[in-house]
Amino acid sequence: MDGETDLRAIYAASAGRLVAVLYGLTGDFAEAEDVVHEAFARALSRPARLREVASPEAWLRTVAMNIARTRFRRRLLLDRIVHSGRLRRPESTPPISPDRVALAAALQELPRPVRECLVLHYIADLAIAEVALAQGCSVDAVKSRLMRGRRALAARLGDKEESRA
Amino acid sequence: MPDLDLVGLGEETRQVFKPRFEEVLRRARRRRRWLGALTATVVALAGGGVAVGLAGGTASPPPDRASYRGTATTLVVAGDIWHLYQLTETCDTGGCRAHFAVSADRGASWSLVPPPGPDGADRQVVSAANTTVVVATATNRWMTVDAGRTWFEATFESRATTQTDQLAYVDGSQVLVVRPGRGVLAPVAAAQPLKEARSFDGGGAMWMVGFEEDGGRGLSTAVSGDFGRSWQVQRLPRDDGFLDVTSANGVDLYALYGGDDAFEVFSSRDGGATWTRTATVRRGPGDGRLLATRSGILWLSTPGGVFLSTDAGRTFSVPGFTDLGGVAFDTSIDGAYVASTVGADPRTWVSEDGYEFEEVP
Repeated sequence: MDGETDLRAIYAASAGRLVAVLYGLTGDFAEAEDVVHEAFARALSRPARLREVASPEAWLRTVAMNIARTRFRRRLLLDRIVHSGRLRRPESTPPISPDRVALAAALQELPRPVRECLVLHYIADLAIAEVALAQGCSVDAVKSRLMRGRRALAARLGDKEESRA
Repeated sequence: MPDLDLVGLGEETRQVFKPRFEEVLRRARRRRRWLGALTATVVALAGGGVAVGLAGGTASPPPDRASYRGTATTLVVAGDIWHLYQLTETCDTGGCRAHFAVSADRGASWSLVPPPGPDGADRQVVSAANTTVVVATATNRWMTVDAGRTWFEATFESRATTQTDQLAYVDGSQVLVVRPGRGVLAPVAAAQPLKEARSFDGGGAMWMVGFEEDGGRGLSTAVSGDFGRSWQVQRLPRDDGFLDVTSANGVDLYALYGGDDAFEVFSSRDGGATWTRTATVRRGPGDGRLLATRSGILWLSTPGGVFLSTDAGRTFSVPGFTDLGGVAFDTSIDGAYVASTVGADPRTWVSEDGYEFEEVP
C-alpha cells in the first residue's frame, strides 16, 4: 500500500470534518486548517504508525487537538508578557452564517473539558461512550458536561439576543 | 431562541473547507528535511569534538530563497517601503521550526532566515525601522540591524532622545525608542502615563493608547511631540468595547468600538480632545481594525470584509480589495502601508499611498 495514496483518501474523507472539529475547539478557522494539515503531515511522515491504529481519523483528531492545545498555551504565555500594538492577530472566521460563527465564539467561553465534550459529541459525531474514552472520564461525567455546556451556551447566546432586542 | 445547532455548525464548516492536500505534502517534505538535518547533527555530536554555536551575534547561514513562507504566526510588519518582516513556522513531531521571513523588495520575494532565541520560543516582532528589528521572546528582546542576518540580545542605554529616534514599543512600564541602524534601545525620559498601553501609528509624534486608572478604566490616548520628554493624555469617547484607534496626521483621530451588532466609528478633529460618533457599521462576530492614511482614506477591516470611507468616517463602502475577512494593518516609518493575514496561507498587500493596495506573493 502506498502511504501517500492512503492518506490522500483519508484526507478527502475526513479533513473537512476534522477542520470543523478544530474550528469548534479553537474558534479560529485558519488555526483549525493549520493544525489539521500539520496532523496529516505528521501522519505522512509516520505511515507505519497510521497503519497500526484502528481509526486513522481518531488518531489524526487527537494529534490535531494536541497541536492546538500546545500552540494555545505558548501564545497565551507570550501575550501575558509583552504588551505591544503589534501583537494582536486577526480572527479568522469561515464564510458561514453569522449565527454559527457566534455559536463557535460562544463555545470558546466554556471551560475546555466542557467545550471538548460538546464538540466531540455533536461535531465529531462520537457516541457518548467514545467521548468518555477520548476524554478519560466516565460516561456520567460526559453527560453532565454536555448538559452544562448546552445550558451555558443558551445563556450566553440568549443574553446577546436580548441585548440586541 | 438562540441557535444551538452544533451539528449544523460542524456541517457548514465542513462544507466551506477547501481541501489542499499539497499543503500536507509540502509540510511532510520539510519535516523530512528537518529530521534529516537533526539526525546528521546527532551523529556528528556523537562522534565528539563538535562545538555548536547558538544565536547571539553570529552570522546566520545564507538565506533559504523560497517563495513559500510557511505558516505565518505573526502579521507582516513594515520596516520601510522596501523591507517587510514576518515570523513563520513549519511544525513536526519535534516541535515547530521557526523562520524569520524577510523581503527587501516590497514583498516580491522572501528570504527565510533563522529567528533569534532558543528553539521552541514564542516570538513576536515588536518593532521595525528600516533594517533594524526588535523581536520579543518570553524572557528576552532580540535585535538585528541588518534585516535578520545577525541577531543579538537587546541592550539598553540612558540618553537624550531626539527626532531620529522612533518609538519602538511599550514594554510594561517602559516606553522604548530605537534609532534605525543602531542596535540599542533607550527608554524615554517621561514616565509612562498609561497602564496596559500599546503604541499606535499617529502620524509623526509618539502615540500610545491605554488606561489612566487601574482596573481597565479611563481609556485614553497619550501623545508626545518632544521625543518622550512629556506626554499629553486625553480620554477616548468611552472604555467599553474599544477595538482600535488610528491617525495619519495627529489631528484627525478615529476610534473604533464594537457593540453587539454594530461597529461604531468615532472621529476627532482636534487631536483627540473631543469626539463625535460619525458612523455605525453592521457587525458580525469578531473584531475590527482601523487604518487612517495620508490620502484621506479611512479603512475599516472586519471579519465580514474591508470597508473604506472617503468622507472622514461618515460613510463606508466595500472596495473588495480582499476576498477574505479581516486583515490587520501596519505602517512603516516612511509611510508605506501593509495589510496582512496570518495562517497557513498568509496574504499580504502593500500600498504607497494608502489607497491602492497591491497583493504581493
